[in-house]
Amino acid sequence: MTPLVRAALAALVALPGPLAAQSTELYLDVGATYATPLVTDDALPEEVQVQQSIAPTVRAGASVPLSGTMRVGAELGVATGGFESRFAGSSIDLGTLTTLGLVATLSGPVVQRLGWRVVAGTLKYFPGTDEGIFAQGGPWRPLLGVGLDYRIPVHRSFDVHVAARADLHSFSTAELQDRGFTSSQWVQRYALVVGLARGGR
Amino acid sequence: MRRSGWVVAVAALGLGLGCSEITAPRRPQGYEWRLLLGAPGGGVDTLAFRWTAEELPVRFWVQDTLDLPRRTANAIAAWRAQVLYGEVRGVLVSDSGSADVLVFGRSAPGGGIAGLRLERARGCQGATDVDIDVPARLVTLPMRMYVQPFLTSPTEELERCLDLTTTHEVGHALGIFTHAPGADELMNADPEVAGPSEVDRATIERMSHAPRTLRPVRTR
Repeated sequence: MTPLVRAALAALVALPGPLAAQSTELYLDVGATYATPLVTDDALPEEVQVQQSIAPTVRAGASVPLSGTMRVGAELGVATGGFESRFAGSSIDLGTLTTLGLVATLSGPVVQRLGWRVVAGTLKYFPGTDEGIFAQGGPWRPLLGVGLDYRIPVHRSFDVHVAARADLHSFSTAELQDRGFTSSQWVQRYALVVGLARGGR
Repeated sequence: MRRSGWVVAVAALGLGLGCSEITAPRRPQGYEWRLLLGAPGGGVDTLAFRWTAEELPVRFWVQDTLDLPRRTANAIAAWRAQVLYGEVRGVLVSDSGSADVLVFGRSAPGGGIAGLRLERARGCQGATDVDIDVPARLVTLPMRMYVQPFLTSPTEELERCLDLTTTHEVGHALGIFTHAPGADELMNADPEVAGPSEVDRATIERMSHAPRTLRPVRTR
């Protein structure tokens, strides 16, 4: 666990009262994200795919009551891993790839400690080097997701928070478009995270 | 259904519909990069070479003259920029014994099968020697590249010629064992362009994913 994550967790637990009021939900999670291929190129003598590795993920968010049992909030998520090209049983390491997700959230209860969360926002790609499909940099892409959150009370001030989420965005880059690629690749991501949450009960 | 249920249902439906793929373009045909030899009894024998993913990066030892290390690094970068999926990788190494390609700033000793000879008036010439054992289908490493100026004093034309020639010869070392038919392609025997063209790009893209019939072996 990086020093930054340790510090954030400590701050979440030790938040002063006004910020940790029951009406405001705060959560900080770590986990992993799997994504489907970014590109499938079947116009070469052999099919090539660009695939991200399972990426360690950190996610932080907050929500406030909206109406009834529904809550509205915002969330920031960072996932960092590698990516590679794959063809005919071989693979080439293309370096590191970091994604930054900024989303608005809508959430509500399902039953007891289980809740649902819908997210909508944007995803930004940060490649380690600007080359290949990212020769003109990483794109911003709109994002939509849905997930389930489960909270386990372990302390009077905070709960253990487990969340599973699937999200979807269309992927393309300026370099791919300049090279004649049309349409976009719909990329599905599946994340499983665990952490701490407080407030919002 | 409660409002929250509709929200979740719509979001899930949107995710479920997300299964389309990006459409890759039809690349230009490119030009022939393989050696085509006459086969006994007629017909054609195809000799094709490229570096596989497991053999990357290609290791270049470069004689420190004529600013060849910088020119070779730039040439590698120029070819690397042509591909989308990392298929072209090259590094400069200090140990000639471990190199896949040796680069010299002098004339070729004669022979070579993929040479670039520019007009003397343009200031320089180059050649690449590739040792091929045709019956065994082997390429004996290291390959040898030669870049030689004709002019003794540096001029803008000589600089351009040396850069162009080095990039052309690196193209041969990467596996383009023939010359392109058009002068607008860098891999033409006497190119009129300074860097890889779109047709050069299409050729190296196809070459990087086509079967090879020659396998590299090392002499030492």
